[in-house]
Amino acid sequence: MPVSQHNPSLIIGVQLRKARELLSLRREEVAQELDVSPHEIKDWEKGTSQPSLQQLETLASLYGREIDYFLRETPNPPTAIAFRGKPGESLRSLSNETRAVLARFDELCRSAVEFEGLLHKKREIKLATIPARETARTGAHRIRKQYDLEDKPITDLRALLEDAGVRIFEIPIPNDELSGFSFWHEKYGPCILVHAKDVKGRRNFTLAHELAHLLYSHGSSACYIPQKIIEVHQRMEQKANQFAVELLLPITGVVDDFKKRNLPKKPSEKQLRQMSFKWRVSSQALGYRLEGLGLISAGLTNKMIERKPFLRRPKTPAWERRLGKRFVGTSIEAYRKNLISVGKLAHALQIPIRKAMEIAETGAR
Amino acid sequence: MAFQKSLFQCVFDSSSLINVERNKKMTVLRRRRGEVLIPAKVEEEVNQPNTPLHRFITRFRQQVVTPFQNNEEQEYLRVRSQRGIHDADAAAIAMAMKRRLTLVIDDKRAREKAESHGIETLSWQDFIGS
Repeated sequence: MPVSQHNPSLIIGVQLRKARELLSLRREEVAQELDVSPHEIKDWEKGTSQPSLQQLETLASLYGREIDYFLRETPNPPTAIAFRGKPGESLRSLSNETRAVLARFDELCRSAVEFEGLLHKKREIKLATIPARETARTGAHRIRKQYDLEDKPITDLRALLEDAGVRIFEIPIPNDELSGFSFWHEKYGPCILVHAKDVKGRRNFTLAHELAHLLYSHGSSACYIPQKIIEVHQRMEQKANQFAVELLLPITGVVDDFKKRNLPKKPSEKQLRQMSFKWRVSSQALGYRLEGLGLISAGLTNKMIERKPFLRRPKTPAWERRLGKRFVGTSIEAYRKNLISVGKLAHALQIPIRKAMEIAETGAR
Repeated sequence: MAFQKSLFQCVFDSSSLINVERNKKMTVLRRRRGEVLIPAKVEEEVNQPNTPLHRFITRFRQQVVTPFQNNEEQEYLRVRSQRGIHDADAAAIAMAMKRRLTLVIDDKRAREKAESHGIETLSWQDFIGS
C-alpha cells in the first residue's frame, strides 16, 4: 500500500527528482532497480502517486540518501558536476556505487549543517577565491603567506583548511574510481571529499588539488588524480596539480631539505620516502617535484612503485579520521545537549549504537 | 507452559534494550518477554552478533519482534521527518502511538519527542522494577 495514501504531502517528489538527477541516473535505470515502470517513477517525482516504504528504502539506498531526505525540503545538492581526470568520460561513466558516494558526502555536509544549526554555531569561511588568471605558483604562495607557512612542511593541511571553514570528509570510493570531489555550496560553504583508502601522502595531495578547484572557482569537480601526475593533460587538472605541488612542496624549503640530507642524483626509494614523510606527500609527488627542480635524474620517479609509507597503527580510529575531529565533536556535543538521539549520533558517526552510547557517556574512543 | 502475550505490552527503543543488556538484566527480559514488543527497525539497530540481545532475539524473534501494521508506516514517516531522531527511534514512537502502548525509552531526545506526541514513557529501570 502506498505509504501516504491519506497524506500525499509526506514524500516530496521534488526531493526524489533532485536525488536522482545528482547521480545522473535515468528514470529507466531506477525503474529497473525497483522493478516498476519508468512512468511510476515519474508519477512519484510529480507527486501524483507515492512509493511504498520498502520502495522508498530501496530508493534511499540507491541514491545514497537518508529516508528523511525525501520527507522535508533540503538545500539543493551540488549541480553541474564535471568529471575531471579521465578524458572523454563523464559522471555517467562512474559506477552507481561511486555516484552514491557523492550523495553520501552531500548527506554528511547536510548533517554537519543541521547539527551546527541545532547548536546555534556559525562556521566562518576564511577562504577567498583567487582570480583565474593568477598562476598556480602565485596562488599557492598567497595561501602560504596567508597562513604564515614560510617554506616549511604543512603538518596538518586538513586541520588548517577546516579552521578556514572547509568541510572535509573521507569516504572510501569503490574501485578507486575517484580521488576527490569538491564543491562550493551556497549553504554548506566549501566542501571537499577525499578517497579514504588512499595513503596519507596521496590524501594530502588530493586535498590540496581540490582546494585549487575551490579557490579558482572551477565549479563542482569530481577528480581522478593518476599516480603519474605528469600524465595529466586537462588544463584545469594540470593547474590544480601544479597548485598542490607548489603548496605542499615550496621550492626553497624542498631544495634546502634536499641539500641538508645530502641526497645523490639517484636517491633510493627509502631516502625519498623518508623525505616525503616530512613533507606529508607521496614519494612519487616528491619525486616529480625533485625531477622538475633538476635535483634527481629524470624518469626516476616513474620507475618507483608507490608503497604505503605509514605502516604504523593510526592513533585515531578510522571512523574518526574519516569524519574529522570537528564533525565528531559537533555530533557528540549535539547529543550531550539532547538535541539528537543516540541512534542519530551512531548513524552520523557510522558506528554501532553500543559504541556511540559508550563514546557519548565516557568520551572513550 | 505455552507462551502468552501480556495484556500490558510495552514497545522498546534501542537505548533501553541496550541498557537492560549492559546492566545484566536479560533474565528479567526473558521472563517478561510477553510484555516486550520490539519494532523491526529497533531490532536491526541492536541485533549485533555475539551479544546477549542477539541471543534473546534469535530465540524469541517470533514472539517479540514486530513489523509495521496497517497505517503505522505513515506515522513512522511523519515522525521520521522530524529533526534529531533516526529510524529506530521514529519506528518505536510511531508504533507506541498507533497501538496506544507504553514506550520504554532512555534516550532523552527521543523520549521528549515521544512525550510531545502524548505517549506514556518508562525508563529501563522503571520497566524492570515494575
